[in-house]
Amino acid sequence: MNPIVEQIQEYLQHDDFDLANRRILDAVADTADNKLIDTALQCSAILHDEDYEHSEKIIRYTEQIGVVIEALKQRPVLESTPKVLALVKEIEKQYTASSFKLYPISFKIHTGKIIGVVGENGNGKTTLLGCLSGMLSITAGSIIYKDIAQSGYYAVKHKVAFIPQRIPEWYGLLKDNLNFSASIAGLFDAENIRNVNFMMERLGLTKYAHLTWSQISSGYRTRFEIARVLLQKPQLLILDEPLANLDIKAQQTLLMDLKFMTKSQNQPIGVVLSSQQLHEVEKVADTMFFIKNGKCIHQSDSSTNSVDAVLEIESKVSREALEQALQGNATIQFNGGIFTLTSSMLSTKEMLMILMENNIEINYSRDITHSTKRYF
Amino acid sequence: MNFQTANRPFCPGFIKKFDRKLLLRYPESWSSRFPLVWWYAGMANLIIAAFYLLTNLDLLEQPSRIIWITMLSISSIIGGVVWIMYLLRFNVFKRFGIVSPGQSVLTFVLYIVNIAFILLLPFIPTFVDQIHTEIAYPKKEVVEDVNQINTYLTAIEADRIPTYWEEDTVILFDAETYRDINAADALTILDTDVSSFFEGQAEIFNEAQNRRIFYPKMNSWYLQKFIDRGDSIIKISDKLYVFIQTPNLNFCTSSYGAIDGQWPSSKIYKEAKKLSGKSKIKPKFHLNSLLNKYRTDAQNLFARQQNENEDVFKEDISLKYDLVKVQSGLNNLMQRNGSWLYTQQIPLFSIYYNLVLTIALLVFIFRHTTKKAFFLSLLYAFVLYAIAGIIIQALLIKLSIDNTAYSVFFFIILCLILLTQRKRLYRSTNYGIVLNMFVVMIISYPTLIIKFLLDLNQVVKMEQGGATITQIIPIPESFSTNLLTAVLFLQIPFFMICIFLFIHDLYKKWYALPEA
Repeated sequence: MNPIVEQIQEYLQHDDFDLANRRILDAVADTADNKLIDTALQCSAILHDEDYEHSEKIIRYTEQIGVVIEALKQRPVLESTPKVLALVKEIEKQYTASSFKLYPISFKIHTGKIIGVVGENGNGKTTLLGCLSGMLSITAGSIIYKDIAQSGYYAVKHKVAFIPQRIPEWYGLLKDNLNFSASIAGLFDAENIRNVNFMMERLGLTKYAHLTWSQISSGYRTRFEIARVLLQKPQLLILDEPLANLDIKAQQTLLMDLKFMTKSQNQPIGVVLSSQQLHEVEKVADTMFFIKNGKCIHQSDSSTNSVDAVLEIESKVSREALEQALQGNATIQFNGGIFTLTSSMLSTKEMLMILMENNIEINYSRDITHSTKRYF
Repeated sequence: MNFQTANRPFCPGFIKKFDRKLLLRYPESWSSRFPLVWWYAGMANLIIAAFYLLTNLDLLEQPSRIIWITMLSISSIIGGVVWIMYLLRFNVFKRFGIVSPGQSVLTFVLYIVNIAFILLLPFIPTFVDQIHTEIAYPKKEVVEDVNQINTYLTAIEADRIPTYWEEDTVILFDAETYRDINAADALTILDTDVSSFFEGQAEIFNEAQNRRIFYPKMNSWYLQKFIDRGDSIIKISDKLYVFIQTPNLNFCTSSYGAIDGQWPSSKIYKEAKKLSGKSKIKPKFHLNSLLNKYRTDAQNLFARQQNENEDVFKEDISLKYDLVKVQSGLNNLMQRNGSWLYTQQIPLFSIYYNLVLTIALLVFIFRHTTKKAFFLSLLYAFVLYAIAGIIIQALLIKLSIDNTAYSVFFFIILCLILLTQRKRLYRSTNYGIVLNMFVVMIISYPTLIIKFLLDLNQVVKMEQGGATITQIIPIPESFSTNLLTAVLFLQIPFFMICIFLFIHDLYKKWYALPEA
């Protein structure tokens, strides 16, 4: 059976209708079957219809979504292999009006993959993203955008969408903006309406469609901006600090949505995003870059192993107590209520057990051995 | 189709539907907001036209257009600002959407039409006056009436009009050299060339000789003006003309003048003579009816001033028939008719056309360039033309180079900069400024070339007395005016072709480049 259908059924079994609905929409989008998409949209509309009681909505939804799930079961499972979208070779950026420099960095961007870029403020994250999106010129090196028309930067910018940290204000009705974006990407008439409706349902924006920019929160502004750029059917999506204005739940939802959409079977895209929310990004990113003073000091995928084990804990005990417990087998750093324990001799599990054995009270702990957090 | 749109007051459903269809199919055209502009500006224009018409039913009254035009100009500016605010909301080009050169051309045309609609508002009173007057008092009819009034007055009041002028107002001009000749020379010419013409009129001829007639200096242009007036001149030969100067029998006038058929005094005199043997009852009846047609109590300062400098006989006749009131009516009519499209005196259409074109061009450039490049272009243009231009002009005058030649030279410089900079790897503001100025210049290029050619044709080198002299031969004014008007209207199609062929592409390549 289609693994996505299995996933959907599991969500439904656990009454997680919202998540199930989003996955259904992803799955029907992959089929490119307009009839099925319309049916799924109708079901989704039921789920979000505020005129009905919750229980009534669920009954109606489960009645009608069955048809969609059955149709999805019949569909063959499409395997999409990641394709290289861009080859970044030793790019450098030196500003004329500033001494800041982005040092050479090379990597590949694939479809279906998310690259997370982290680092402290003012260290070159936005510069790197600007260079990738074609907003900023590079001083040295090259970026070869594969599968993107080679007829100049206009074509590159048409296919590479960039969402800046400060999203420019939208004017007029939000829905008109989305229709406009779909229209300039070549989606006309009924196709335009369907795509816009789909994107709004998919990102949970339908009930805000007829509002204006000033009437929605900054979190929804980010979501609308994502909807807008996705309607332009980009091959590469670049987001600068998209989580900055979102609460923790919204951050997780957005990242999950990005992950699902990135791995779309029908139209996979590549995503590069920068954020300060290390742990959230690390959950979904296939590759992480840590940038410090313009240099990429860490570039890894999730399978990268670190030599030293690093454990982050929050405890009210003193540094001396910790040192006494660990008996010099780990170095200890203290940063605003959080201890970072690094050891080349002990694993994180062993460090935790030693602390427990010494009756050290721990409020919070996280293994950051494979996390870029260890560089902060 | 079930859809929700923004709340637009007084906007009918079909406009909203059409607007929506455009949004879903032709985003570039939709972004110009032309259905809304056409609807709102069109409605505003119609309402203003109707309102102005209703408040200006009596066409003989002095028009109060200044207040209207001031108020409507302010409204038009507000309308324009609102439109630009809406226009700036959506830009396919700056969003890197799919846009073809053809769409770019179409959008430029839509900008022109939109601005034409918006800017029409302050011109509405003039336009309404023009049409209303033309329908109620056709120009031809007014001129005929004025001729009739003058003829009837001359016929009826013949006893008051002095007629000594018939014998003694022959003035001679040497048409070849266009300079005054002394009396002795004139007499020689008269003896040799004109005697046969004046055969049987020896008395007049002798009187003219005896009086040693004054010969004013007359250049070719002035002579041409005299010749154009027609029937008060007798051409004796290519070298000699006889101008019969009659007293002014135009008791009433229309500013349309001889061009539109108003008779000169000599013709009025001849026509009046035809009526002299007949009864005066019928002419009097017709005259009264014509005078009543145009008589108004509404003041017209110009009408009174005009009559203050008249001959005594005219003053008497004017008082008797209260012609100041008739002339006031006529002046008011003429003030209403003849301002719109009347290229001879008030180039109102030209102002309107150039205003529309300039704003459309600025909007087009703004939509294709960065804010920084746009505003710096304006500043550069100002500095270049207003300050550097003056200095360069001073040098050019010394070098005997024409203003047009300077523009051509400047244009070539811009082209060269564009060519040398086309392979830049980042978006340079300076290049954007050059590109903007190049676009501004290219739209005026057809006019510049024609002016340049006309100037070249005017200068002719001639051999005279063994030396080469440069002489300016005047091109007929009507020809150069018509040609320049035609070229002016060719500017838009020419610019559209340029957008299609390369302007769209130049902007596309430049704007998409990464920033430095």
